[in-house]
Amino acid sequence: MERVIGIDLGTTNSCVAIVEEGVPTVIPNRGGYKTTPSMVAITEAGKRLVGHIAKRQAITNAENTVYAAKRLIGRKWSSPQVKNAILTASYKIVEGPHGDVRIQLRDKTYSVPEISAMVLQEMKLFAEDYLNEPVSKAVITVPAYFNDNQRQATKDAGTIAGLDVIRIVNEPTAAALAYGFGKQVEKTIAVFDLGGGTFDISVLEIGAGGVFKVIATAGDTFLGGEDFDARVIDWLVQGFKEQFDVDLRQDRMALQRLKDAAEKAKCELSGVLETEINLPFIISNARNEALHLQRTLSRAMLEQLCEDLVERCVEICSQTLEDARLERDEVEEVILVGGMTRMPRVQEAVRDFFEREPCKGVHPDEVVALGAGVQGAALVDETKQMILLDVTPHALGIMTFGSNFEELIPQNTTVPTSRSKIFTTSRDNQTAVKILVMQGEHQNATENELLGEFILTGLRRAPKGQVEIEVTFEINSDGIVSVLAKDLETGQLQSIQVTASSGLTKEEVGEMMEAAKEYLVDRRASDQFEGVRQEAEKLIAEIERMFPQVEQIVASSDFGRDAIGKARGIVERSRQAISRRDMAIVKEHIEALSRTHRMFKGVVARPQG
Amino acid sequence: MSIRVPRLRPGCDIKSLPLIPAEAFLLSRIDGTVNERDLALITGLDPGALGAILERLCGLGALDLGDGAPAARAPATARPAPSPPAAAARPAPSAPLAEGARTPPAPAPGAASRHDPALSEEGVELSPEKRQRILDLFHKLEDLSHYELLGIGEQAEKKQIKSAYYALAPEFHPDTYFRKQLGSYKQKIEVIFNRITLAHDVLTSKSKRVEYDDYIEQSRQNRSMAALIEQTSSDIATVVSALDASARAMVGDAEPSAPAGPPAPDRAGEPRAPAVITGPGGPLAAAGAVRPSSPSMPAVSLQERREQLARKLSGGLRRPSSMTMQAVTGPLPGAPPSAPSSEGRSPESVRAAEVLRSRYDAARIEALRLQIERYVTLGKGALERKDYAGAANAYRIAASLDQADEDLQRASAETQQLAATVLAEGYLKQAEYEENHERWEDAAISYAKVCAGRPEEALPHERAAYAILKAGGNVRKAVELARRAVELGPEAPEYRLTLARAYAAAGLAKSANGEIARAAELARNDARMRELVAQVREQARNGKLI
Repeated sequence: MERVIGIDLGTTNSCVAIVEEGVPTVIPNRGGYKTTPSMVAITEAGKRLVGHIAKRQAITNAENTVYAAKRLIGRKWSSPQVKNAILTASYKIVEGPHGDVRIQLRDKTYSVPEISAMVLQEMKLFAEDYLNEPVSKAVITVPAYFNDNQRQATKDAGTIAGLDVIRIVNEPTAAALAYGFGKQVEKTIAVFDLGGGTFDISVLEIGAGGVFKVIATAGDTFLGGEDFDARVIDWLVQGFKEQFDVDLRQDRMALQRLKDAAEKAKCELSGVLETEINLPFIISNARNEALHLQRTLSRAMLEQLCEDLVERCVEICSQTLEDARLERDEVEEVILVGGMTRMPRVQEAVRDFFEREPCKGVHPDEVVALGAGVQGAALVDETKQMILLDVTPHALGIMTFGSNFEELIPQNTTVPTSRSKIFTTSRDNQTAVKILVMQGEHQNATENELLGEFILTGLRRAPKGQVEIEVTFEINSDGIVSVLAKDLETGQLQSIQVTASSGLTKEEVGEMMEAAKEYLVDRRASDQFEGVRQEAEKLIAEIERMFPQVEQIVASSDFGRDAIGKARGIVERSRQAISRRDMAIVKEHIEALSRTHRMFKGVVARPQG
Repeated sequence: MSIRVPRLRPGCDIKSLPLIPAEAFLLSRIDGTVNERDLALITGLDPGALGAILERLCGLGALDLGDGAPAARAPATARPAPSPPAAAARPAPSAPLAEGARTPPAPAPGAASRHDPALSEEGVELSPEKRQRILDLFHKLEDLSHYELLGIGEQAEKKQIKSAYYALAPEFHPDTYFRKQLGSYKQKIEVIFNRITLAHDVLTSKSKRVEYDDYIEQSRQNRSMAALIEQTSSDIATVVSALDASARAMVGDAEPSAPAGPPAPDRAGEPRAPAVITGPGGPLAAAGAVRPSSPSMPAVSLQERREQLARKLSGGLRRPSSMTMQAVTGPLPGAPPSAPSSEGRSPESVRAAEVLRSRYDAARIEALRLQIERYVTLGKGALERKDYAGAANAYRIAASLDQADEDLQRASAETQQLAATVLAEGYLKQAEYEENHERWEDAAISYAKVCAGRPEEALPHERAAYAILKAGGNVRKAVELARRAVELGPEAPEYRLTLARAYAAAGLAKSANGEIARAAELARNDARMRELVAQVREQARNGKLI
């Protein structure tokens, strides 16, 4: 049976896990860290960097380093969230060919799923290294409040990365799975998930026999750690402007440094009451004088700056409990997920709201990936007694005459599910109807997300209101929405599977997948070359270290001088091969280098005299 | 979906079988035309329990469990003569029901395999047992209450409901069959899962559960009340024969040819009705047979009429005084000892026979008087308890024993009208729930029953017609009902629109247009209604509406 990895593709950090002999385990990355920054950069030499290394070079390569791509995934160019991101991002966001979002890095534009795919590919590699076998199946998590376009885009990212995404799972749900896995608990729990970019709250019931039933879920896909950082940045920029009359926002590199410093300060303030932000030489003024930023931020100040964000979380919690028809005291456990829940003010707000101490037993950064791993294992392993009954986080319906949103499947409906409703034509002699499949809670359809559209043609010419069309919505357990429209008179059927538009066509996804594969081949080759190069260079270094000593010992004999000459030749040729990145030759030379190395060691070790 | 139609096996001596009352009761409802599903409806038995009984009866050789076309009516002789005490047939509200539902495959081990091609579908990665289980449940889904589906009692607490759901949900959640070939089972599994989830959602929501419980209770009451009212005819026969027997008993051994030791009227003649309906259920027989004896219904409220009648009746109904033998209805089954022909007999023996005869008559009249008195008392008592079906029954029996007593006849007619009205009210509640949950077929039946009890009210007729149209039922019936609605409420444009829809569905475009025109005329001052009229007009233009 093939193993399934679980990936938490986060806004700021990603994490991969797997169930090993019944135990969910986080797979560390090559640096030994359990989480990897969801950052991608292209260097001046055109080299792709992902993870910690991308983060480390971010300051010097701010314009070509992507962070928080998750905030853009599956969104339309015209959306206010994208407009807002354009203003604050240090990288360049451009419009794609389908009204989607692309990111410009050096001379190339990338779709957002491609960027996410780079992170996913990296996570896949870590898993393969760890398991020492190829991995192709994955469960990927998304914020519960993601709409179908965002989910589809995430799925596309997986496909591009060469993964068969067997399920998209909601992050808070995954956290609950990890929490309840292997425990014989029957409880009503709330998962409070405040991550880097998004906020989710889910209320679940864990029943006997490993049943996890989501009762209600809600959230905000634009409320997370990034917003807290932004508040600190604003505060710093504002203060700097008052002090020096210079706008730090004009300088992308300064902005990047501010961002790092803000995040760092925020994290530090979870442990201490005061921290100093020190950014020397952050910018020059009009007279070309270097300016330094130096300020002290207190925890109280941070809390004041972010109070409305915390309040917004509490508001959503309150709404969700209402949707779940539960009283606060009926929630028997509160689980905190996401790095932002380390902030004391957030914990306090949760404690005050639920009137109980949040659970300390789960790791806020790893629990989501662990849950994804658990779900993956449960799906492919029939012996695993675990079933997840999730809900649709948004209402589904169609747009009717006058831009009205006609709801078919309400929010928080357990999936799979199906519902139908009858609609009529709105114009005389209308022979075709366009069915616009929408997702959201607004009465006004245009405020909601368009998932897909299709046209039912061949309707009988008739006055308006006369032709009746039955529209059936179905959501299967993969979360795929199918819509069926039936002309009740002729029995004519038209259906689509709403493959929500991630902003990419199928062909594009295919092409990107190919490109990613190629990259992977290159990447593997270069990984291998790296290994060989390191080995060769290590030998060369040791040989060179011994040269003087060996020369001294053997220089008296012709044979010795000859041997030294040969050794120098091998070292030289190896160096050239390395610089040509000619792996075959380097490999060949390694043997000669080893022999030389052994011989040198022998000479050095021989007692003199 | 084909449903089994059980038939009585000809020539089977039912009395010789070791039956329990519930089984005998069920047998008495089988006539070779009613199918299993309707039987469940008629008897009020849980389909699982019903299936189990049918299987057992089949095993005893009393029945054939056919499917497909109904066979010719079985010979009437096969009916067990006296209805068994019906109360025994009614499952207690919770436990037996739950038991029945807990073993869903009960009714059809192998039955579904006979008529479901899906079972043998190839390439489906499901065990035969699993397939059977899915098919069984899928086919029964419509007939199971939320409680039965989850296999819980009606008093179950939220916690029990949840654990029942958690036990059942994984079995029918598609993830359990992740990436397996399921063929036609895929859709069935999802339908079952949806229904289980609906049951859970309804029963775990306080308000929805109250609403649903009321509905179940209401339909159960309706069924039992209707059954009770229908049952009276057979009760009368029983009472009369008991009467007869008691008369014979009073005469004593003087007539040796009479069967000895018949039950005393106190026991045999005890009307079942009032005794039975103290419980919530009551015997469940074919509903809808309620015909009010007087078609005119005064326009006073139900409440008022109830009170009026109660006052009148408790004010003292004239004691049945003038009783004649002729008042006794019907041919008497255990006919009185016939007066022997005087010819060829000694005058003494003739005299003796006459004495005997008059003693018998006197005893019978006395017994009759006692019985009538007894039923009137029972009727009053029932009325006081608001047991309208029981009252109607008691008065009906009393009235049938003395048809010359006009007061008694009137009281009987009035109580029956009252019972019919109360029943109609019950059906109305049931129908409203069904309509709200878009169960049009059920709603159509329930509304039709409301009409039976409220023949002078337009609304139930209109709603019945509408529900029939929605359910895609008998269009002629819809036209008939809608016409009656318009007759009763000629000023309401919405009734005319429904009639127009019915006409249109029947292909009567001209009549439809006529009604729409009249509706438009009536709706002149109501903007919303005008809009509705316009809409229906558009829709009707081509004679196709539904």
